[in-house]
Amino acid sequence: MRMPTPADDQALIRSALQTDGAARRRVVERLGCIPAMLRLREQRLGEPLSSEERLEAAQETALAVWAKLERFDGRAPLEGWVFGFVVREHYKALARRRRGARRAEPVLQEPPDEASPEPTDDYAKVHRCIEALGSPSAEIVRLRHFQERAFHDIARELDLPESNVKTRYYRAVSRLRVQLCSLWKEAMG
Amino acid sequence: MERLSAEEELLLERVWLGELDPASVAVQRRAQANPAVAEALRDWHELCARMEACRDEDRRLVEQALASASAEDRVRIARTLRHVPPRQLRARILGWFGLLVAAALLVFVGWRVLDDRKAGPSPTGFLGAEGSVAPLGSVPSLALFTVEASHPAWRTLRIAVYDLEGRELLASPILEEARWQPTDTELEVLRRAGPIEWEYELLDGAGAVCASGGPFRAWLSD
Repeated sequence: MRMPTPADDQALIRSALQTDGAARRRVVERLGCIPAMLRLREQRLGEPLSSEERLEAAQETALAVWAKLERFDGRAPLEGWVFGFVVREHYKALARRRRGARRAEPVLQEPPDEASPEPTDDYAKVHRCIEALGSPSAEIVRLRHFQERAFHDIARELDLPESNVKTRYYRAVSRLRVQLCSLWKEAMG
Repeated sequence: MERLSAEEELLLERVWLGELDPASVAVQRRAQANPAVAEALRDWHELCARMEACRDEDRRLVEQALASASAEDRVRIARTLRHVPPRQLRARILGWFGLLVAAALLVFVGWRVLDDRKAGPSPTGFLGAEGSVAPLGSVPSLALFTVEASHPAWRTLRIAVYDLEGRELLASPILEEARWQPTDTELEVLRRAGPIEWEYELLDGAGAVCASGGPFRAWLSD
């Protein structure tokens, strides 16, 4: 069977938005990979969620994708586009857990070290540092480098002026350079 | 280590934003002149290469997810989205609902306007003075004549009532208040007259007419 191209995906989404029941079912079926994406990402980053957290994150991801279906532009396969939402919701789930842990702590005690164990490989380090940039800078870097989007596209996606996106991107990359390049240089001795 | 000047910072920003080729002569000249620029460029290449590697890994991860998604996962997501229409559809439903509400409002306003017309002529706009005038149109009684106006300020008032042929039926005394209650005998005259027309005059301190309103038509509803 021929694999659907991004253009096929865009046509499918368009049909789904036109209340075509069969197309909607097909899109829903394609979104069924969200829980698997979450599981694999958790494993890869070494930051596992509980089954309840995972279920909630998967549902939130599906709803977020569903709410923004009309923004799918067919530049990447549907699942690649959905993965961006998975990343965002995974981090949100981790943040919710940290907030919950902080609330559970007695008030007079020092807050615990909220970060997960220090990552040992590049993949996790890069993602951790990008996440630490905060919103919307982390989003901007992810859209630029992981989805190869142009700045004007990113600006439209995030409802920000393009000049603002560029400024934030430059500052974010400068921070990443300081954090990551020094780590890499240390590792190389 | 040498530091970056503002100009060099700007140059690096343009390289990082993809507006300037790092291999261009201008960039290379700066890199040769200042080792800090050369180092920033090396870091930039390193950062891009490592993020590219991460992106490739993400793509592999998506492929693995596609291969490992279970039927249970698909059912769960389908259940989540079952009752949520896509935003475009929601917008369409809201749009139709809005149109329906607007149409209902229009019908209601139209009905009220027609209803008001049936009740009698409106004083609004007459000399621009009256805010409220009674009796007006079809009324249950002609027992109280009232005039409310914002301009000009009230001084004294005189009200006169006519039949439809213009014959004067009644005239009030000079009134201090903007209301007049005819006596029972006078009311009997009005009851017999059927439809009436009435008007008012505002008088200044010397008794001269300074403003007037009317004629307003009124008739008993029974």
